Amino acid sequence: MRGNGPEQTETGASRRARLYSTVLAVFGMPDYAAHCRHLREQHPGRPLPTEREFFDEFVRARYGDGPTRCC
Amino acid sequence: MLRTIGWIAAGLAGVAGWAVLALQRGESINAAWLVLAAVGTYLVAYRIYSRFLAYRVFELDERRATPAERLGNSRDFVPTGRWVLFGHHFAAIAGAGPLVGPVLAAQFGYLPGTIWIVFGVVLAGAVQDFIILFGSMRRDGKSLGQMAKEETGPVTGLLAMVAVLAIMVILLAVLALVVTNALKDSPWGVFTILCTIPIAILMGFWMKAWRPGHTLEASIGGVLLLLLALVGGRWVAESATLAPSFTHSGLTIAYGIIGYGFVASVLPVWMLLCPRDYLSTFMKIGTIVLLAVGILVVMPPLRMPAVTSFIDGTGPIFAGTLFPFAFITIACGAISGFHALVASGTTPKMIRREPDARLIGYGGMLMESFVAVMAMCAAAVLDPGIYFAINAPLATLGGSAAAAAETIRGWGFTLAPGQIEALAAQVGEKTLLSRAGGAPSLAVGMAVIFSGAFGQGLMALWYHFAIMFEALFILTTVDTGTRVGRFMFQELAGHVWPPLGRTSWYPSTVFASAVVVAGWGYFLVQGVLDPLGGINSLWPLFGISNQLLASVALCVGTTILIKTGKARYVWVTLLPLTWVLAVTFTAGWQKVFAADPRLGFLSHARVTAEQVAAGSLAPALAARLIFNDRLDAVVALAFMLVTSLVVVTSAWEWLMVLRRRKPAVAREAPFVESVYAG
Repeated sequence: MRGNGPEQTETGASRRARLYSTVLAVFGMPDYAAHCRHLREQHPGRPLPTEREFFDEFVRARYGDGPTRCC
Repeated sequence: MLRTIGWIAAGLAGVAGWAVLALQRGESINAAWLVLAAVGTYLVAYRIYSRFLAYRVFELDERRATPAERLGNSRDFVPTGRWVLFGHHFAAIAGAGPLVGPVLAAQFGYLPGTIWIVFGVVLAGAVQDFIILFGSMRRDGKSLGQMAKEETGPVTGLLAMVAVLAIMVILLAVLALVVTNALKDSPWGVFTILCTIPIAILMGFWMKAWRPGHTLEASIGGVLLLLLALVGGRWVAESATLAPSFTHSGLTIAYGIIGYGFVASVLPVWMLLCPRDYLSTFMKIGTIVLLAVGILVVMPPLRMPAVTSFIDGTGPIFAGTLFPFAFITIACGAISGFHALVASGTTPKMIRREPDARLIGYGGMLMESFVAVMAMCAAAVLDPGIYFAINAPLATLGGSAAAAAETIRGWGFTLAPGQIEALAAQVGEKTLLSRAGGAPSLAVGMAVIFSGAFGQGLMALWYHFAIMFEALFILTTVDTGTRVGRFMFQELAGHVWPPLGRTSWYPSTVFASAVVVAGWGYFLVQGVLDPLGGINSLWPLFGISNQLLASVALCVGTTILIKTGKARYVWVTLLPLTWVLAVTFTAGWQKVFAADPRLGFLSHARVTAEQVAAGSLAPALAARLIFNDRLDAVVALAFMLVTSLVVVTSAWEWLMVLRRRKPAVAREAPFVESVYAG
């Protein structure tokens, strides 16, 4: 499996963080740390949302329209 | 070199599996051969056919940036590693469908269903999922309806949407009926399932207010509480004071589910729907892995014959001959139109590199097919006598355990005196006789496999674990489905009166939810009251509607191929489309017009009317039965009409483009170079 971008040698903590992100993604859960990282990198001027604001926004986007689950 | 040897070995394993299945006559064979044949075929198909689709037909391009890369917002457009997204997509498409369908189709024996599941997925189901995922990925994650509208025209788009809404109503009704039949007169099951509601609400507050955003820890907490509720259920069932308040008839449970569906649709998502979704995803992935391990450890022999005499259409569980009804009964697992909605929803927005779509779209569906094969194994490890005693309608069986044994002997199987009662006691139920719908027999099969693999003596716990797992994610489908149906209804109703289209206007939300719930609730209640058990008429209707949706999706796929200049490869979608149309139209026609009253809705209505005339049936009951027969006939005809219109309008578009009367313009998003290439 390819990783998610250029990687340095991993420490135990970052490996745990990556495993955590993987589990969140499989279960379709919001990933606050990844979102903050994304905002810092792509939109440096923008203020970071609180974890709760992000959760609300994520749930709205995910269940807003269309089926997310099949029969 | 090593890889090539691996692929060849996979191919040989598949051939060996099929050879054993083909040559075994008259003696029981091991479930392992079924699994081997399936997995070998999947691997070969994945290696050869999906590669052909990916690089020749679709020309997936790793240099082309995906919507996740171009529009990334780390909320819904998120570039995600392919194995992670594979898991995510699989969890989204696999539900009760692939588990229940094969169990019901086992009345024809294990072989016809298995052949359809394995070859259907390779040539039809996985192709459909893959092409819709591909099309949506090239169009910034657009939905099936939007693609139909943009590529074929507004009429097709509107028809596709009406079709989806109608299918949703039938789907929710039949799944709710499966749960109802599993929970009636079962205090243990009812208690456990009732507990999921406060557990989900607790998780909702945990994630929203107490520890905002901590979804994973809340879900783990929820799963632990759920297992506690499962153990508590036994205690409730054995308590003389508590058990009666959790013992309910099918009708009461049906009304409970209807009320629940309405409340879940109008409550905020975070409170009930989202936490339930996480809970059921956990249980789903966990249990499917457990089942695979169980089958591999126990390697149970299949007791069901390869082919039964019921292929002539006399089957007790549902009427109709092998063709077309084996292919209607197993929709999910071989080809499921519903997947086109998921494959054009969340998943295409998360693909990191274009070539990943092959593993996710094609591979994800192969995995669902494998779940269906395991469900078939779980049904076929049961004694056929037990299987039919659980699944056949009570009226057909003769009303009591003793009469059932006699009836089943008449079919050429055996049911020892007291065998079904002993099994019921073993799994902690009062009775297992005629619990149609597939869930209880699947749960018994799973309990047999699990207790074989992980220790005897826990049969009752495993049985209720399996029931809880099925009911949990069926109810999650009821939540999400009602909500999606509500959105669709609001969009359609908005054309008639604009305020109804505003999803933020509370009265509109309540009204639309009530309409959708009333729609599926009506069919559910009729199914519960039906003397033949409801599954007999509703499940084929669901299979037909699901596969008609698949033909809509395959039409859209064909249009995409023709408009992108791939007309020479158009057989990859036309072949499954032709097959699916042949199956569904034959089945639909037979369900409406067949002379056999067990099969045809209209002839059943006629026979019922004759019974009233002869004085052998109460007129009030008969009037309801006749009305429902006619309603079912109208629904089946409407499905066929809508699909015909979609096929005709699509075919017209194909002709115009192929004859160059119309420019071949596909509305793909423009090419942007990817940074992930190389």
